[in-house]
Amino acid sequence: MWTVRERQTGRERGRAQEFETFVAGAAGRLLHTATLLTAEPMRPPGANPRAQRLLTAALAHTYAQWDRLRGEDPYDRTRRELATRFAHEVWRHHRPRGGLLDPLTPQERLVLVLRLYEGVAEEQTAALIGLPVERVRAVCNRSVATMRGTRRPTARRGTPGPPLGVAR
Amino acid sequence: MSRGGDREDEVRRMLDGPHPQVPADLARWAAERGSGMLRRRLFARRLMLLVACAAVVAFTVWAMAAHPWQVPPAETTPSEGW
Repeated sequence: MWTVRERQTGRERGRAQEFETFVAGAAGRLLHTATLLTAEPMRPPGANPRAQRLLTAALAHTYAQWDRLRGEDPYDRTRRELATRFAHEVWRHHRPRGGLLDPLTPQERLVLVLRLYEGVAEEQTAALIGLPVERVRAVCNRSVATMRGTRRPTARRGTPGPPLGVAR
Repeated sequence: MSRGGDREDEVRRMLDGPHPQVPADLARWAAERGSGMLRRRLFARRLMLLVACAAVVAFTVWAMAAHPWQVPPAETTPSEGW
């Protein structure tokens, strides 16, 4: 017969193993997402400490929730946590850091990455970041135009921002 | 519609690309932090349970000492009747 403690450590070991398998499969893509959000360069390795920190925190949350996921995809859960955390600490991510999405504001990055890189539906994106669907669509279109160079980057608060031809 | 789709595809291609290298210890860091969260949560739950038990005991002791109600003769069989 198993004692409570033995059963607990058994369950912990199982959870740790499942979690490790999940991270081995999903971490690359999730770190890519996080790095796009924080607008840090993808390489060299270690050039994205903020993204790594964000992802570690989100994954820790997923680990703590592991036994209570109730069929929810751990990837979705982690992505949701990643987006929520990023949205909470948006003020830290205004400064350009040399990444691909530097021309975008943090909110534009969040919408663009969720919609186009992660392929999250408009309604879900809206629910996730607490905006109306029309607004998500507008922000997404705006970000797409900025990234294609057909629109000037949105002026940002508190930072010098990229050089603009004409002041808005 | 398809124009918008084309534009989105163009940006999607910009976003795609090789994933950044994941630090070897990322899973372990996350698991350690996560189990720390679980441990703290367990501790908080136990503490709450302990406080609740203490409250029940304190109430019982006080009630036994103060008898703030009219005690019904719960354990006594009626001397007569049914």
